[in-house]
Amino acid sequence: MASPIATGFPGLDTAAVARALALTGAEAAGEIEVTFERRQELELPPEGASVGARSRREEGISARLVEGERSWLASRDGLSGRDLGEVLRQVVRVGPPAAPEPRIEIGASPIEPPRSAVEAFPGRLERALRRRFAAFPLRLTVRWQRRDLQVVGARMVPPAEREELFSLDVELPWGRCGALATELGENEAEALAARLVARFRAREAPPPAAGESAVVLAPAAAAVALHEAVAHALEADLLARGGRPDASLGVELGPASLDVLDDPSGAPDGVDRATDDEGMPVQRRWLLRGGKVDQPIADRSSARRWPALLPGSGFRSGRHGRIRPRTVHLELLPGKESTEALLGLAEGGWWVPEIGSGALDADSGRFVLEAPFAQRISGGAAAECCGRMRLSGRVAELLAGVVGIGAEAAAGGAGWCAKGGERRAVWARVPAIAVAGLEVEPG
Amino acid sequence: MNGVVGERAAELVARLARGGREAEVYEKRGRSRRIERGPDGEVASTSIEAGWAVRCGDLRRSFFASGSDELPMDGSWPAPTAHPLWLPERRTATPWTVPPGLDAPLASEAEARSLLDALERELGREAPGARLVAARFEEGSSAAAIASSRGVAARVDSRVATLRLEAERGGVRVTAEAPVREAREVRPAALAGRIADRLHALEGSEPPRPGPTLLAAPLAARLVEALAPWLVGREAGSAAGAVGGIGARLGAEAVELVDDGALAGGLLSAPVDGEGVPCGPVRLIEAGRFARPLLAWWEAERAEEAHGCCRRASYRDLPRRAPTHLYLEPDPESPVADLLTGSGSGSYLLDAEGGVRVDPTSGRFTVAVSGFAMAGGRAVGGLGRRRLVGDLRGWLVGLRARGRDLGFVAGDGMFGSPTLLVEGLELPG
Repeated sequence: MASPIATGFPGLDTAAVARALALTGAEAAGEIEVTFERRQELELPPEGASVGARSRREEGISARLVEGERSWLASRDGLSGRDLGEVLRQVVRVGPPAAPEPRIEIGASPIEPPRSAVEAFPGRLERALRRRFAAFPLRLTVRWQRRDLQVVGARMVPPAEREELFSLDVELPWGRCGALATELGENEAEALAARLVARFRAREAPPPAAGESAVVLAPAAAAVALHEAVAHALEADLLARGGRPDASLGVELGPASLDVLDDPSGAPDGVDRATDDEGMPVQRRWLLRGGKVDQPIADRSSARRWPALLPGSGFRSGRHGRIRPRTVHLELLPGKESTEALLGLAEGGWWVPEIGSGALDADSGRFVLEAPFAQRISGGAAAECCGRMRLSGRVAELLAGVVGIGAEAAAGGAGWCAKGGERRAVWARVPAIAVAGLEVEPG
Repeated sequence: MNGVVGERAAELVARLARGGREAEVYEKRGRSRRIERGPDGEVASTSIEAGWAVRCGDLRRSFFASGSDELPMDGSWPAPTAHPLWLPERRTATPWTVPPGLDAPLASEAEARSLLDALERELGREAPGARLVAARFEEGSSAAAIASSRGVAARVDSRVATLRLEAERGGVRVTAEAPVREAREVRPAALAGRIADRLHALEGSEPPRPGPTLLAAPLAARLVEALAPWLVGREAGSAAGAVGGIGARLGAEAVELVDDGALAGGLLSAPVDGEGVPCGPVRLIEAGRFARPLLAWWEAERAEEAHGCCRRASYRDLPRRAPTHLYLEPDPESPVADLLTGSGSGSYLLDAEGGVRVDPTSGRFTVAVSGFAMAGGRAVGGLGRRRLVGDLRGWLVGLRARGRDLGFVAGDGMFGSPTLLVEGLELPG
């Protein structure tokens, strides 16, 4: 990655910002913080698209004041002292203050996009496909994006954070295929090529028969399933829709072999975080320990309201968005089963290499997962393909149905999460799992 | 952007276009206010966004750049790549009336909070025992300017507010949305009444009666939204297109489907689109037959005849072809009450209780719905949560009558329909 630890805010005097916060007097009534944000993106569109290389750079400030169960947010596109003064006035809700306008001077971002890596990738992918003797029409979009973040509170100034990643989006005649990565080289090209060829070979496969079935979710598929069924299901704001989130503590959701964590500091280099978007230190948070709910995902507001919850998971898509409890990096601790053993546990069922999208209805606890294809498990091995498949069920059924956990975890991007309409990249390190009794139907 | 449209933009276009290149500069300023209530508390927010976008190049190489804050007159632009750029010619927009309320100030925090309080009170009256699980009111206004080396110089102002509510009673939940121009257009009693009707309908267990299906405007509009992707782009008009190509029968004789970016009173109405192309009505289905797909200027046979249909979600986004106000024309002579009494036995479906799922291969759709069983032209009981199933290519063929009401729902654009009386749809469970 280019400049992984360079700050995006050269010259920012965080002490001066903290003094400006203190002058508002707002921290007497609640908690106030300011967030400085810079975003950059470089996009290489598919061949033949209208308009070439696409560069996006933006920056801005937001302020937030939390008083009890109420909070006020103000944001604007600009990094000047005037912008800071205005967002502070908006959240403390008073007229022009007697205090002078804060003086801040931030230099231009020194971060340059890794243009050569982005431009080299289409060729790398083409060569990787050729090595697999495959050629088919595709439209590839390659993006690099970086977000720099500095939170400043009246009494705390956490370190600056950054998230830097690549995203790949391939349009195929038989659907879309996406990937997230923190590096962009031969390995990523090989991995994407393998997935595209698998989809190509399954493009005319017959749909699966509807019914209840055992499935083995490969690591990439298990990551999406656990994101929906464990992470979202244990986010404090979604839990609050059905009652007190802290009432979930200790509830048994799965077998004793199931240990699931959310740990933003364990995400791949470049997207790992030491603090969340509220400036709170992140937690290595056990969501399920021995199959029981240990610690739901919470931000500062929910932790203040329900003291048994721990803050450190307040995230948002950007300065104009709302901070909510959100998962960043999910881990399922490996079990003991080899892939062959997992397949043996689901004989006659389906091997699901990947899941394209998923959704959870937080009120009913029902989830839906869409797989672009799957393979019938026959004789302890993945055999013939079927076409698009929809897997559904209730969270409790999915977790209770876990009959085997693989011994080898794989790390990578789990996809884009659009909770509350705000997109964020999410990551995972999980092994394959075998699950009994999922509802399967043609997708 | 006060006063003169994009003076700086025009200057930048002139600089970038030197050497025979094409250039377009877009600037946008907007402000929004939002207040949200939910089980995890209340959040009031205001945001001010300001940014710009540049497209520059020729038929061989081009780039796009966007950024926040002021337009950079001496920006360091990205190196172009081997992608073509083409921009529309300047065309005169047809006369357009500025909608009332466009310049009104956004609702204050206190006003927005009062609105949510009023909704909570009215819901208590209309549906005793029901509670608001979550509520969100969001209002925004913006001004955008476009200038290009092709002579385009336009300004577009817009303003939209949306109210979104989730209500619950006895484990039954409904979500309702009301897109309006500004806060004072929201009628709390009417909205609470519609939520109460849907809760009542979902709590019932009456079996459907044989007979036609009356689709209330919000539900019919969701089906129009589901149909939209099949009618957009050059590929939709070919014989191999998903709906059978130009001339295919998609509805009864009375079916007329129009997209109109300049629709009078439309929430997204504007004289020009995100590329400065004049907006106007395009009739996609005429007398029940697929007449033409919705095409951008660059894919129409004669660019000068295409109407503007390329919207920009923000200054960060490129213009994207999509419907603006896509709607089925109502029958001005047909009161909804007549459709109700005339429907005899059957079902009266109020709203979609989830997204419309479409099988892209077969065109079959399914959507969860709420509604009432009808007998003798009167509602006799709620149907509970039911699935409405039909064929996207053929559901309008069974159209028997249209109401004179025309309601819009918000999606990727606005989608509208009057109340429809339709035969051939199924309610399996």
